[in-house]
Amino acid sequence: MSASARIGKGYVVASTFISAAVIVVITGFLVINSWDAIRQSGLELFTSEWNPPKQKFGILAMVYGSVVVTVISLALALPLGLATAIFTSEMLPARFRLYVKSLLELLAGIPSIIYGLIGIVFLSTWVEHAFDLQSGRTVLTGGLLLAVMVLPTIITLWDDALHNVPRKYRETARGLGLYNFEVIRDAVLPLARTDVIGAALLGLGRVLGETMAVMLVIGSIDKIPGSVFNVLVPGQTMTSKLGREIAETAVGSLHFSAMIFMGLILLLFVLSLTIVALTYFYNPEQRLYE
Amino acid sequence: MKNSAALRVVGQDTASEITAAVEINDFHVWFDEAPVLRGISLALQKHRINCIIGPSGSGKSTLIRSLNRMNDDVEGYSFKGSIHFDGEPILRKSVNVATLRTDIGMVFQKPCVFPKSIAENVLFGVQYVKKLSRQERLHLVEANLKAVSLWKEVSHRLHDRAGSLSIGQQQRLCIARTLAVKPKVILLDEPTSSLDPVSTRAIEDLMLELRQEYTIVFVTHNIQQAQRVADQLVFMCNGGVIEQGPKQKLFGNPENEQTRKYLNEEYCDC
Amino acid sequence: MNRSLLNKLFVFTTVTAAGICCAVLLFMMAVITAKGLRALDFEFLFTASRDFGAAGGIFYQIVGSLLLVVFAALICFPLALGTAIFKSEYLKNGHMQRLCAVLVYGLNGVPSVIFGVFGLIFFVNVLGTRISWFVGSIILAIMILPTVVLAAFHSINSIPQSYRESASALGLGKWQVIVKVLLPQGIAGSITGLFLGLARAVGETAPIMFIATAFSGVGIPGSFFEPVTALPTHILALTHQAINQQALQNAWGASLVLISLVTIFSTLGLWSRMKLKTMSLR
Ligand SMILES: Nc1ncnc2c1ncn2[C@@H]1O[C@H](COP(=O)(O)OP(=O)(O)OP(=O)(O)O)[C@@H](O)[C@H]1O
Ligand SMILES: [Mg+2]
Repeated sequence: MSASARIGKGYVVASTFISAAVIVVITGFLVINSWDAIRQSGLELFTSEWNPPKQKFGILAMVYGSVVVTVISLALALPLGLATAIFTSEMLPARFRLYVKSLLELLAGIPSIIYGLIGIVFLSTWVEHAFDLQSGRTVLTGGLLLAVMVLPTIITLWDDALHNVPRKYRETARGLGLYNFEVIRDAVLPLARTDVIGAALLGLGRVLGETMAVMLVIGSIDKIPGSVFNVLVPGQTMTSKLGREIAETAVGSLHFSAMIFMGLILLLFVLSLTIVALTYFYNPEQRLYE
Repeated sequence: MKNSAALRVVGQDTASEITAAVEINDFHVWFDEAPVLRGISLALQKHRINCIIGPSGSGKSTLIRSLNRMNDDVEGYSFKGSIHFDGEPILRKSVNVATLRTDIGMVFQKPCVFPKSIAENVLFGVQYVKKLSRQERLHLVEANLKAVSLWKEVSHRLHDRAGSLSIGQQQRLCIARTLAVKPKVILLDEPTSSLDPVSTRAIEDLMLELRQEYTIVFVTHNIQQAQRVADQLVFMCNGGVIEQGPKQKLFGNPENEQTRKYLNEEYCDC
Repeated sequence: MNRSLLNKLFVFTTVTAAGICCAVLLFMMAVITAKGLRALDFEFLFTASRDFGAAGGIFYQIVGSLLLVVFAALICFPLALGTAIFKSEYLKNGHMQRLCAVLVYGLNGVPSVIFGVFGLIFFVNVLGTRISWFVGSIILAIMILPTVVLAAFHSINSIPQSYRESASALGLGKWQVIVKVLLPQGIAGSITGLFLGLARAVGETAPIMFIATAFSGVGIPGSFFEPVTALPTHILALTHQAINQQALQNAWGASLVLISLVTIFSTLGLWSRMKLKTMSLR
């Protein structure tokens, strides 16, 4: 082997090693830094009281906030997104597709801080007036904003998933006398289902991990409301908590460690989502059509 | 209406009355303004194998896809003229295409099975037409697989994936699926072009049997095949019908020089 | 229920849904454009901000953002290309391939705030760098690494096997084949991935707000270990003064500039993809 070939091989091996190691290193550092909290607080981490002066670090309120915000946004975005993707993929004439797709990609690329700005200026005041609240920064506002945010991504992914199903299946089903809704429900969607579910999981991961937009509109109160179904109160998600507080927390303190622990929980959840999506769904080898 | 169709049929070779199942009148098609069919007038006969032949690109597929309005979903499609099925105009906007397609079924060039079991594939179309009891489902699967002589080969594995069948078996499964809907007309667009000689033969035999009950419209490139199975022959070229009539007449004594050349597999320049 | 009626209902539902989405998304576009254009002028783009951003322009924010992503690109691209080459040309073991895919996709899914937290722990605390734009670039580079790796991998991996075989038959070694045959063809796709990654990186706030940026009072950094100001963090700072109309107006202006940067990067990405297509047609 010539010298340049040896250097070249060394370079590609080293860069692969670095790329692969990054995620391990990140996870490792979060584990190490949350160790204090795990050792000292143990299961108390899973209570709902977060009170640094009293050294109480229960993350349940944040977990609750993340779950509720995610449920609200997906409950809105998934049905709306699916219906819209069906429209763009199955009904929209091909000559408009390019424009619609470009618009969606553009919207999917809008930075989350700008969604946050829109949330503060418009959405939260609308919520405030609509429900006659003291402040429009509520869990509901966060959920609504995230729904809007995730829509373009989920629509393009689903549109691709449906559009990738070969034409012949639609023609065959139509030729057998099926109505359009039956063709889509019973021929197209089942064939696209792995991609469709994979994209939904991707959307779920994005919503859970989204920080800036939520942080600006959710109100940042670490409390679970008296009724868990009351979404018209300020709340806090894991991400918004990290975004607001981590920089002001003394490194090495139990407080810091508990924050990192929360980050670790979030990371592990999103990672397992990715792995599930990857192994079961978002995988070309699992395509149901050729 | 039916009488006039019967009158137009040329060279009847049997004593029994043969009527047209489908009548096409001065039918034009354009794709994106480009003319593809130029004034087709044709009567397709009931309980016969109506075979359409012609060079590639002559508009055979376009024509038969217009009969069950599959072209409606193609972008840039426009048409003029009329098509009647059993005396009813089918190109009207008010016609329910889903119902029309249960009357005029279609089998495509390449078999297209859904990633479901063999039995589910047979039932895929018919289950929408009416609610089926378990008994009826079993019966329909068996009857239609028998009709395409697939029953012996697959009866022990009805719940296997349809994709595990050979291509020839898949094509017969597709025909069974179309038969299950109980159409009156079956459109077959080069159904044997992706099959080996044995499977081709099986499908040809099947067609000969099916014409007792169904009207068959069959597109092929293969002139020998046309000679084997056709009752009526339509020769199309460049978007128009050059000649039509009973097989014996077109093969034996064609009126048009181009027809003679094409059927003798010579170069034809229409 | 009647099938025909159900079908009509279905069409109605999808059209309505599409209409709702369309309205929401167009509203967003309209608001950003209208509000942003009102703030935008020559002076806004080319002067420094004053009064914590409530007055003046966003010149240093634009410079800071560009600095961050340019260095992110410089750090990310060689790493991503090397990884993609290894994945495509050397990694043949199925288990290792799967592991590699999981790690890369896993990194892709990491929430952006986690990158910020990691940067805070690792660089600022463990390595003892102060708040520094260069650390921000490194973190952004890590964040977009999966995007670029996957794009580069696909464009290299999809080069037909016959190219490799005919080049080897001419006596080229494996590395020569990579450099002379695969890289020239695969590079355009990799650059597409890089631009798409940058389009994402330039708009990110959470990864850089703890570790790379200061909110005001900084100009062009003199060394690698100084903070900068950037557009997304500037918008964040302005939202905290949302009652001040002038600050809000500047926030909209900065948003429009930021979206323009995102669009420029994605368009460059699509353009290089187009170029790739014409090249492979030749
Ligand atoms: N969807 C379409 N859009 C535009 N032009 C089309 C479309 N489908 C068919 N055509 C054109 O219509 C003409 C007839 O095509 P058609 O498929 O009907 O020919 P055919 O006789 O079936 O040919 P073959 O024997 O090769 O199947 C061709 O010139 C073709 O290019
Ligand atoms: Mg054809």
